[in-house]
Amino acid sequence: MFTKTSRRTVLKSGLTGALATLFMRAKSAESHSIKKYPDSSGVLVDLTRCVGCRSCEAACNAEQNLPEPELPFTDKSVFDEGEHGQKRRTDETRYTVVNRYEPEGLDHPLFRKVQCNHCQEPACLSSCFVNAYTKTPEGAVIYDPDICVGCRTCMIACPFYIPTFKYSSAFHPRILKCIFCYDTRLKYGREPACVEACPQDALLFGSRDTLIKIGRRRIEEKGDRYVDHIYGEYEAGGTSWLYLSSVPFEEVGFNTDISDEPILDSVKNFLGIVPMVLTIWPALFTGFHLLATRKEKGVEDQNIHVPEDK
Amino acid sequence: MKALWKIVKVFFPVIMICYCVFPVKGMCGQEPPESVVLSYLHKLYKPVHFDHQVHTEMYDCCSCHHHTTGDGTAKAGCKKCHSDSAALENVSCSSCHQFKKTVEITQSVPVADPLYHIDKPDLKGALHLQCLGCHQTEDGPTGCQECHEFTPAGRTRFALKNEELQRRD
Ligand code: SF4
Ligand code: SF4
Repeated sequence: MFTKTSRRTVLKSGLTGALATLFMRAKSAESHSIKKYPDSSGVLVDLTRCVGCRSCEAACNAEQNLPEPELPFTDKSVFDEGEHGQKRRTDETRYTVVNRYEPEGLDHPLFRKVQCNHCQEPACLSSCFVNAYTKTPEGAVIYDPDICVGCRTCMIACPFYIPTFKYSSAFHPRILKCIFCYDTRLKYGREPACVEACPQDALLFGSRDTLIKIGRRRIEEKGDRYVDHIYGEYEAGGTSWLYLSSVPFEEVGFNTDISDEPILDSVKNFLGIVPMVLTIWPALFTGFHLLATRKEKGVEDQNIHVPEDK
Repeated sequence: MKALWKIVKVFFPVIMICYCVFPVKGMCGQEPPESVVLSYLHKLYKPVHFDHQVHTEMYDCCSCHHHTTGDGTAKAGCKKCHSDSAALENVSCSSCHQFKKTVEITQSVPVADPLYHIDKPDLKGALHLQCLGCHQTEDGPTGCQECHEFTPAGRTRFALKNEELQRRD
């Protein structure tokens, strides 16, 4: 159904949607409730193991054919913070970045790898009004750039600030983010390139359920090494990428204010109008068109008829 | 790129076999190898010549071979079952730690015994966690390129210009 959605028609539908909201009350979004896939896969990231070697970044760059970076991946100066203490973010040239943190009371730094967390109930997906996103049974959140209209709603909806756009092309915007190596690896049951490259087993690929068990076990066996929490088990409704840390997660750049409720719930009401818009817009538009042309015609008729009446 | 992968796929079993050829015979009583060549990351890095002898002079067998050399175990986790386990025939790292660890997507528990060894690192992870972990506490070299010299493919992967000198680690 969506393969034929052109940017033009979608823009029109967006317009109609805006009009329709004036007249109609939103209903709950049945078509947007997302199935949870019990056997979906994930990655367990153990921050206590990561040494900041950036092998994962280099592997991602090669796998996704991303542009060559300014500095080689062996350069550790990228860990130095920006002017206002900002950390590096993912963008259209890098779908994953590793950042360094120096938590108080720890005699060594910790490194945190950032990429799309492949949420169980992705906010990017549920906020996208043209349905450019898909959550695959394997766990990946992927997108179809041909459907994307470049409205950037997903950028705002994502609680982890992940989706980015290729700004260089304003007329053909293209969303870009980590796709869990879906096309080249995950689809065939293989781990993503970053996981394969990690020398420390800081990244562990497997079924999400197993990874949670393994995470719990590490916490149980080495309680002094970990805080008693797996980040991503419940955050934002649960994510496919899960994290273990030796310090409270907010000290290594994680947003710990994210609610456990899927972000979906908060946008559901708004989204209720989307399927409605998609189904009724042709009729509505035809209606407007007819009204407009009839009126014109009416005026013409009047003009014609005036002399007759006199 | 695709061709490279094919080559890797073809060579992978060969490399594995080469790696397993070091029959580090069990027990401290037997003659340990002087050096071990680790070449399974050959695509990106030149082989690492691990000086086994230097390490055996400084540490007990069981500090690295957790419980397979018949001289007890230094690991609290292993002690529960292996405090007096006998020496194994093959004590090479790769005899327990597989080259690659990918938990099958649909598999809920990765091994038959659900209680122990469910979280065993793959070969690359085992070697790095063991070596680097110890090097950090014992002041050994810890920079990636102090052990791993890049191949041309490795330099390309890490976006190092070929004329450029290898950067600090
Ligand atoms: S992390 Fe952001 S981009 Fe990734 S699935 Fe979740 S909401 Fe979407
Ligand atoms: S490859 Fe592994 S150890 Fe290296 S930076 Fe990435 S996550 Fe950390």
